[in-house]
Amino acid sequence: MIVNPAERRLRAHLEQAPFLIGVADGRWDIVTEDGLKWPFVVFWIRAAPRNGAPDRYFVRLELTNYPIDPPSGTFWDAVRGEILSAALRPFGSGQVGRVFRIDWKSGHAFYHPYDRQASRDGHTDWPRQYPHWVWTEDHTVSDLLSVLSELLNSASYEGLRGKR
Amino acid sequence: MDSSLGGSPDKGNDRRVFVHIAGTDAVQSILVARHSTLGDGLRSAGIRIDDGVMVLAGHHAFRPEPDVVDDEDDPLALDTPFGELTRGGHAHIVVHSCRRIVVTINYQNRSIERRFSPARTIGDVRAWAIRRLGLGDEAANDKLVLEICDSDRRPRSDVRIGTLTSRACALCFDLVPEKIVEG
Repeated sequence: MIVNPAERRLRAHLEQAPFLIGVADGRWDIVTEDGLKWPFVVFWIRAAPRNGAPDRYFVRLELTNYPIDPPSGTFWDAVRGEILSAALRPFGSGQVGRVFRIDWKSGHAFYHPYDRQASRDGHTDWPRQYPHWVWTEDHTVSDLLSVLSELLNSASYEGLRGKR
Repeated sequence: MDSSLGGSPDKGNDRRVFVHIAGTDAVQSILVARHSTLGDGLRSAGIRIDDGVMVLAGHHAFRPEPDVVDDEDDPLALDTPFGELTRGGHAHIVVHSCRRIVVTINYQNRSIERRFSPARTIGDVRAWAIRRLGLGDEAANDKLVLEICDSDRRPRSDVRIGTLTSRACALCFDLVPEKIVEG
């Protein structure tokens, strides 16, 4: 029996349309083999085709106190079961380069208001600068997955960092 | 490794249908038998289709960089079998009282307008606006996004525009620069 209210909320969101639409469209899904070990959950996200780059990336999100607090996460090596090395991470210009930067927190968090570490660590002005990206309890994990998916399928996404 | 945890497994003859309803962002996900009709499936899910309300087919799967806006479809007949609607095992339908929504888009000192089906996505509308305004190069690298007029709300690309309005058959957007996250 799941007693953790945050885990119950996540599991409920995984049964709802915003997440299922992404699954049906082939944009993302949860990895069930060792994919959900609370508070950590691993998802894969499809990426646009780029020379020498994979067709998908894995992300591991930490969901303590979800959805009151946003998740925090990073790219994940699903084979080794560890944080993805820099060379194997996606790279790009503009928003892609900023959100997927590796020079902040050693790349252990996404540089975006929907990431708990980023939104709390010295970015008190972000709610004013980016009011459309203020996380509330009404947001779900699909909102973060949608941001990551759009970045990985945008013209700004260039491929693997190690192949620059 | 890719087996899905989210949602009940779809049975062989069942189809997953996402129902987008006017004026709400709470999309419903229902499973319907492939051979059942649109009217039967919606009724069994407790979704009423009142007089004057139409059901429209959602266009295609998510296309992250849509560059073509097709001609608009007519409303669906309620005796349409779901099997004719689904692609890849699922479908999107939009329930709305407006057959078309007049969309106005403002960019700098220009304003353009077109009538879209409520089933169109924000991504499709944005793609049309960028082509119509001749902004292909400038909009590259995703620098321009749609923001609902007089708000700071920027709907996701896969949102159906019919969900952004209930009775009014009109929407207004500003095409604005996306702010790169800094700090």
